[in-house]
Amino acid sequence: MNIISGINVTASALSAEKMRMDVVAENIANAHTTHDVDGHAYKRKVVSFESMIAPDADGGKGVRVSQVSNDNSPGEVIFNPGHPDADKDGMVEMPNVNIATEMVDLLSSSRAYEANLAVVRNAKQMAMKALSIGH
Amino acid sequence: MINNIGTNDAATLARQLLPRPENSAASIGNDLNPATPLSISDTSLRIPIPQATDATQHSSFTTLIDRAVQEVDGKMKAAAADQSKVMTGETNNLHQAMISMQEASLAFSLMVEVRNKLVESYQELMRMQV
Repeated sequence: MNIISGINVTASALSAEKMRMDVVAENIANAHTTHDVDGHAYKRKVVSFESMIAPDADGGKGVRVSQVSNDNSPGEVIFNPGHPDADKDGMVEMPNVNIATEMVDLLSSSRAYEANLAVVRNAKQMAMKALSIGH
Repeated sequence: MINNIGTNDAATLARQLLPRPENSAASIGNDLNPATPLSISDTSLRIPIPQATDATQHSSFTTLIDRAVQEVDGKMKAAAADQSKVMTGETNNLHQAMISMQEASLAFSLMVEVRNKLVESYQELMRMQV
């Protein structure tokens, strides 16, 4: 019994957008991390989506996160000889995270999440209107 | 009710898919009367008709209602499970919990609507003059 049609597609999109927001949060949190697990400066993460058949395939393709990859563009190199991660010339490589870009990504994922919530709200309202037939 | 329509459709489809003997007068009869067995001797050639057609004939109104109530109950249980998963921190899929709660609520409303309609028709019958 499927009461709200196409809700699983929207639910998958909500999960994917939340994942995107989580990755933006990670990027912002690590905006000044000069020592990642591999010993180098933190590289910002990028989420890419792919479409998939929705879990119960009731007419529509959902979306999921296909991969979270590293943006390997070089970060800013600053002169800071007192820094523990400075090389022999006193230069430190900073992460390639740009806070402005991350904020734009954050807003974008937030708006996309809202758009999917609007779909949920409208689908539910349509079902409720249909239930009130005969009143 | 929805399931009923689904199985009927499947039965019609299966009937259309069945191989019909060519140049046979019985094929016209088959079209009109689906209960007439087809005159194919080799049963392995036949596409098996889903047994659901028999099941729907035997299933009473009570089992139909019972199945609908079971389904609504299942939705409510799923919603409760999602809710407790979020509460205990097993997952942070807040939206999934909210969606299944809304779905359960709508399914319940549908069930109540059906019940109201049934009671209404019962009362209508009781008022009937004989």
